[in-house]
Amino acid sequence: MNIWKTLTSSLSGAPVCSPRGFFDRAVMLLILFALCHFAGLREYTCVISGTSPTGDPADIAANILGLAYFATYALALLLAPVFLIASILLRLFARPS
Amino acid sequence: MDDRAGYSRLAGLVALLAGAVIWLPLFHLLFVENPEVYRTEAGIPPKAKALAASHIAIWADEAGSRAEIEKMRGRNAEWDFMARSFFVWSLANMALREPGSASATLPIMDRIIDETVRLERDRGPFFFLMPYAGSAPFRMQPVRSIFLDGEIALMMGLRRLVSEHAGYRAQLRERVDTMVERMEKSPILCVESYPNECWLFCNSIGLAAIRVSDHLDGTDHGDLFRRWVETAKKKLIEPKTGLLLSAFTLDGDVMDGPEGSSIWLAAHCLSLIDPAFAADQYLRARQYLRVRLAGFDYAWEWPRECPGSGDVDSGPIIPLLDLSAGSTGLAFVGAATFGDGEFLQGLHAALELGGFPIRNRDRLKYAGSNAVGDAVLLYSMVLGPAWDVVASSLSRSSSALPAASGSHRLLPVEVQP
Repeated sequence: MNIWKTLTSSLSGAPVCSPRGFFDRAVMLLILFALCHFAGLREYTCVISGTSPTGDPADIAANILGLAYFATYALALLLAPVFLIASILLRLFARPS
Repeated sequence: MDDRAGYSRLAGLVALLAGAVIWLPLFHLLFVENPEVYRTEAGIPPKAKALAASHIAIWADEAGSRAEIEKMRGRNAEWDFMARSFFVWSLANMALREPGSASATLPIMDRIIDETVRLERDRGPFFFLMPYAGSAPFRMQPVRSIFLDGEIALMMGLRRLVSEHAGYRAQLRERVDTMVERMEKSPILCVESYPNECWLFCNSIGLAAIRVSDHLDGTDHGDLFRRWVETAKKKLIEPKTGLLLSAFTLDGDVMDGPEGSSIWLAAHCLSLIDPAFAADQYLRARQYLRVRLAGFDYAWEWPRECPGSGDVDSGPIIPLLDLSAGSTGLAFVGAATFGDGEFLQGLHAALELGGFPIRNRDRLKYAGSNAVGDAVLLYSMVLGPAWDVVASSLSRSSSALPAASGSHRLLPVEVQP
């Protein structure tokens, strides 16, 4: 299974530029962030202050986990709400196709 | 069919653009806090109490807590030392804010100070320094680093402000005498932190410690302070920005230009030495290093006029934003010292956004930070009373320098556009 394709495609199969397509993408970003959060990766974000989460500065895997949390957090906070608002606006104002 | 698809795409893009226009200017409101959460005139603000509780757990040796310190030592032994210093300075200010808490905090302060001094004595002065400290001889012998002398002296001094301690009186005197003797031998009145490296950060802390010692023991180094400021204005100012250099040799040759990880704290310490000069440095730092973006504030490490290269002090620089964790963390101290409420609010909003707070019952820590970062943040939330006590005695003395204003009573700084 192509994980990237699964993550970037709509859950419902709706077109990207549709109310449901935007909504699905917002939900996917939030789920991705929730997975990282509940996996405890927040603790790994000390990499942004130059501290290794495990005390070993050469621990690349730990650094990547911290950056992954940072990236999904940024996407969930910045992009997911934009998708949600866009979804609502499209539903309210766009001409039904 | 093509028309419909084209219309859908266009409508989608317009909707996304509208969503961004609506959301991005608003989302900082999720993170803006009531200032009373992090800064109060009297008492200890709730955020500071929660941060302090996490640090007390570290020093109470709760299971796994000391691992926080070990994590930092893996990257930089200085951070271990500075976490101690900022935490002790914070506890002293907290005890002055709430005298009833002193009975609980004094033993913690003493424990940290005693352990730090013991480690310095048993493991040598390089224990808390980065490895390159041993790569060349210090020019002033025997080896002393003002990084250690200044911060330890200030720990002892602020502890004694809360309650006299006979043992620390003699130790403080010895460190102050050593710093003063060496400053007087230096052409720029600054002392080495590392071999032939004088750092503004360490020397300004050393000056503050000497000032506190004057208050406690009735000595007067006003003449040294006056000459230090005169020398700094002549030899240690970067001409494009008017900001103090961050590192220079014992002869005053430039090593590093102005840096956020030095100047914010230097302004805080110098507010006890020459308030007008300190306020000027703060305003210049604010002008050249402060960044406000979408309702959040952070700080660059270097002014655009004199760029530098990243090091362990700056911390990682976040690409695109050029955000320096070191400079931004210490900007809290500068903004709190000079009563810059607007900057402080933006910094705290950014902290809640990108500091990744973890709250656990009555404790708080920032996962995006580390023990030294959290100690600096704690200090920024409680600083003031110690400087006020020292400044109030100086305003009654015959010192030639103007007395420092009460730092937590907000210096009347004007912010230039």
